Amino acid sequence: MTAAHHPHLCVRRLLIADDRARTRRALSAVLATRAGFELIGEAADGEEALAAVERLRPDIVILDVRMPRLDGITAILQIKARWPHIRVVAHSLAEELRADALAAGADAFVPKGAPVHELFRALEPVGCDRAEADASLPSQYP
Amino acid sequence: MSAPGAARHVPPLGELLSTLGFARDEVPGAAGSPAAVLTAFVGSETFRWLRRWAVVAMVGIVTPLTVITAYADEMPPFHHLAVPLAVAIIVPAWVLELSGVRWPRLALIAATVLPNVWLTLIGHDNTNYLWLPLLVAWVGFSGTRVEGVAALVLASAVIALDVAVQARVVWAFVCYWTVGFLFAWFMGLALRRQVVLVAELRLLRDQTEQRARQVAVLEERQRLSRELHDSVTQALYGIALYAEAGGRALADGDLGPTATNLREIGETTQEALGEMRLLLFELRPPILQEYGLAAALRARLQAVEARSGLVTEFLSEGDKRLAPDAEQTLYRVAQEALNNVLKHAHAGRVSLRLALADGHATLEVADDGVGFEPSFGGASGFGLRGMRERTERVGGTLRIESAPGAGTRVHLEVPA
Repeated sequence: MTAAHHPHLCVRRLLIADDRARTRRALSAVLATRAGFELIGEAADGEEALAAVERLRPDIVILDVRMPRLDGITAILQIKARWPHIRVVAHSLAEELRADALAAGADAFVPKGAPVHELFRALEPVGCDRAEADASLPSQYP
Repeated sequence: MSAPGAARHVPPLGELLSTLGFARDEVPGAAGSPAAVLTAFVGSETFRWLRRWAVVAMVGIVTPLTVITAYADEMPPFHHLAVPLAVAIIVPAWVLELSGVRWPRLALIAATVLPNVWLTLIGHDNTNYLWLPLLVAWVGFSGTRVEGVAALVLASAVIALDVAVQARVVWAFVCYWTVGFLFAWFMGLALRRQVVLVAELRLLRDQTEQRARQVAVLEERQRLSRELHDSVTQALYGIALYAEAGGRALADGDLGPTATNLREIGETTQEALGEMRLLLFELRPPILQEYGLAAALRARLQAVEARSGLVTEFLSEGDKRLAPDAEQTLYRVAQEALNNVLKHAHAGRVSLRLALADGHATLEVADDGVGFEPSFGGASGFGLRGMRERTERVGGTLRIESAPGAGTRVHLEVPA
C-alpha cells in the first residue's frame, strides 16, 4: 500500500543514501509496503546525498554511515547544519558508529538487520500530525 | 677452558637460541631481557660446543709449541722424559673427552693445564707463555667471574713460579705479563659483550618480525571481518528486506511486487553465495606460500571471474620466488584492487600482469570500468590508503592511474 493510494494522507518524502544499489532497492521495496512514505531519490555516497538533499529537500534521509567519497557522519553533520528540520536516520551495519552518528546530529540510528518495524518507528514522527498518521497508518503486517 | 660448573640452570629458551643462529636444540620458550639473553647464550649447546672446541684448538696449538720450545732449549736429561710424559697425559685426556666418554671436568682441566704449566716452566722460553693470555681471554669470554679470577691467579702463579725457578725478579717481565693478562681478560669480556649484543639484536629483530606477522594476521582477520560485513551481511540484509516486503504485500493481498521481490531474493542470494565463495577461497590453505605468487594470483583471478562474470586476463613473466613479505604485499594489493574492480568499477574486463625479475617485481591490475577521479584516492571506501601503506612497508611504490570513464590502472613495484 503506497501513499499514492491515499490521496488525503500526509506523505513523508524520503531519500535513501547507501553505496549498495541492492540495499537501496530492498529498502525502497519495504517502504513501498507502508503508506505515508514517498521515495523521492537515492544517493550512492555522501556527496550525492548532500546534492540530492539540496535539490529535493526530503523530509527524511535514511543514510548509511559508511560510504565512499564523503562518509555518512560528515554528511549527517552537513545536512543537519544546513537543514536541521530534516530528519536523518542513520542506518548501518556498523553499530560501533551509533554514538558518532548521533553525536553528528542523526535523529536516530537503526542498525541494518534490526526488525523493519524499528526502521518505521524511526521514520514516523516527522512531517505529519502524529494523531492523523497513527489513525491512518495501522500496522498491517505483524 | 671448560668450566667445571658448566651445567647452569638454563630456562627453556629454544626460540632465542634459534635466533642466535647456531643453536642445536629446538626448545620451546621465549626470552626478552638482556639477562635472559645472556643466560640463554651461556647455557646454549652452541656455546658449550664453541667453548670446548676453542679449548681443543688452544691445546692443539699451545701444547706442540710448548713441546717444541722445550726441546729447543738445552734441557737437563730428565726433561726428555718429562715432555713425552706431559704429552702422554694431555693427548689421551682429550681423546677421551672428544670420544664422548663422561669423566670429571676437573680431571680434564688438570690433565691439560698442569702438564702445560710444567712444560712452560722447564722450557724457560717466554714464548711458552702464549697459552696463558689465550686461556685468560677465553675464560673472560666464556667463564664465570670465579673462573676468570682463577685463570688470572693461575697465570700469575705460573709467572711467579718462573721467577722463583730463575731465582731473580725481572720487573719489566712481570709488568709485561700482568698487563697482558689483564688486557686478555678484558678482551674476552668485551668479546662476550659483543656476542651478547648481537644475540640481543637478533632477538629484537625476530621479535619485531614476529609482531609484524601478528599485526599482518590481525589486519587480515579485520579485513575478512569487514568483507563479511560489507558483502555477505549486506546481501543477507537485502534478502531479509525483500522477504519482509513480500510478506507485507501478500498480507495486503497485493501480488504485484511478489515476482519482483522473489527475483531480487534469488539474485541477492546468488550474490551472497559468490561473496561467500570468494571469502572461503581466502580462508583456504595458503596457496601463496605453497605455490607462489603467480599461482595464487591466477587462482584469485579465476575466483573473481567465476563470481562476477568479468572477462579476466593473466600475464606472468618470470618464476622467481620473492621474499614472503614482498609476495604477501603483492598478493594483498592485487586482491584489494580486484575487490575495488568488483565493487566500484562496473568493468567488463580486468587484466593482471605480473613480472618477477631479479631485483624487483611489478604488478599491474587494469580494468575498463567507470574509473574515478584520483583526487578522491584517499577515500577510505576504496582502500587505497591501505594499499599504499602496505606497499611502502616493503619499500615499494604504488601508482594509480584513473579518470572518470577511462578505467583504472593500479601499478605496483616492490624490491624483490
